[in-house]
Amino acid sequence: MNPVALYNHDAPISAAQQHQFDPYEMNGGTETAVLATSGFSADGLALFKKLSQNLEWYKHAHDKVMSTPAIAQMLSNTLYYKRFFPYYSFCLLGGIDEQGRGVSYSYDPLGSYGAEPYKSVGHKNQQGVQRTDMPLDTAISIAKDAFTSASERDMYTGDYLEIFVIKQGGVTVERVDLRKD
Amino acid sequence: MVTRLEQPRGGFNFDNFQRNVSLEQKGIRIPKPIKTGTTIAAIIYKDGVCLGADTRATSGPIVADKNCAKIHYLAPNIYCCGAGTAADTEFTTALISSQLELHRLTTGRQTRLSTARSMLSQMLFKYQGHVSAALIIGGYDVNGPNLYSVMPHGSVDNVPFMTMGSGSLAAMAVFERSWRKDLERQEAIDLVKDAIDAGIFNDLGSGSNVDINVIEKDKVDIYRNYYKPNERAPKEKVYKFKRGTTPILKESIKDILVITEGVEAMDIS
Repeated sequence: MNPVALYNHDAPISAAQQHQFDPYEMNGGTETAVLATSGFSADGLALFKKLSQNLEWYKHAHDKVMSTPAIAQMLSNTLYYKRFFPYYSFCLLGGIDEQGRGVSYSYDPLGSYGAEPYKSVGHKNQQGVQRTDMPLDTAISIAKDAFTSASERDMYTGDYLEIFVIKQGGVTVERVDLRKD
Repeated sequence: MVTRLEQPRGGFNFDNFQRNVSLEQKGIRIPKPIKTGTTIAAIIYKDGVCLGADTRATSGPIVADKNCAKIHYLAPNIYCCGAGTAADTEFTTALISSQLELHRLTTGRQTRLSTARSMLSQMLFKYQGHVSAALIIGGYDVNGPNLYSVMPHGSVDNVPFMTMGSGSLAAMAVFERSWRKDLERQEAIDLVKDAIDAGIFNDLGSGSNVDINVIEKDKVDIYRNYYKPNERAPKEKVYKFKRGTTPILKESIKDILVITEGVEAMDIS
């Protein structure tokens, strides 16, 4: 599994490459944040489930949806809570912050995290992306090229790519073909 | 005084083992061999044999070669599919094919499959499985079309159809489903292609294209990249760096001209 997240000021995009399982999208109630994980898929699934539940409890307790930076901190805490039996998950969180700007965060399995302008985790290929604002279609093209290239040389990358585009209006998903071998 | 020459002993030489251990402790990385996570398959049909192989070579999880050749030449009437460590399959088949050529020159006869099989199995057995070559030998000789499989430890099997490598289970499933005695030539090619295809798509260690080899009486057809189901998708953008992206920090040009005049006298001291 190979997630990529890129963003410009209007909209971040997050792409989770799918091998044999569905990626673990997280738009529980908020429609403004997406989680992509790689590593051990069952741990990724369990982590996603736990976060979704916490988001729901938060909504009931405070009558508002959790902001993306708050979700980012919560994910970090959730990961570190299991410091000595960690979730084997490499997480990428993409979303819209309270100012309506795109943000993306990347994590190590223990919960260390930071906001990243562009990031790809997983087996291979951190393709160079210009550190400037770019139009959405450019960002999508780069995400696609990163994955078609990675699937050429990485055994574990292949079959399909799912690209999640998160805007204030909601989340759209695009499915792209990758090498099937 | 008579000096006795030491006879070189057969088998591996482990003299460098201790040295490598101490080098590794000092932090020098020992290079990893390329393993061909592979699908190879072959069948006997009505008037010949058909060999097939995928074309992916891997080094760990990385694809080292997207289009390598795994069907090796042994003799004009014998070819051999190899799975295992790339270097081992490459060099054992090259060594045996050289010995077979000399054998033909001395005997003046066409090489038999059983000769090639024995030489390969005896060599692999001598190395006790340390030479990782899993082979399928196919060809046509005085006994007609024949197929042998040789395992890395030297065991041999004579069969009507065989698959090997990490994709062997997928390929064998196809053979077990559809193999019949006395297939026609095109049916045989299609079946082998389907078997390799199963390996390419269901085994991560196998991929890219299908190579096919057909051997009949006094006739060999080599179909390199017979089927290409994994062409690269075109890139959407161009990632070329402009000239001058890397700044030149300093520049120095030297004219070097060596002039030698006359004839130097030979040193005869």
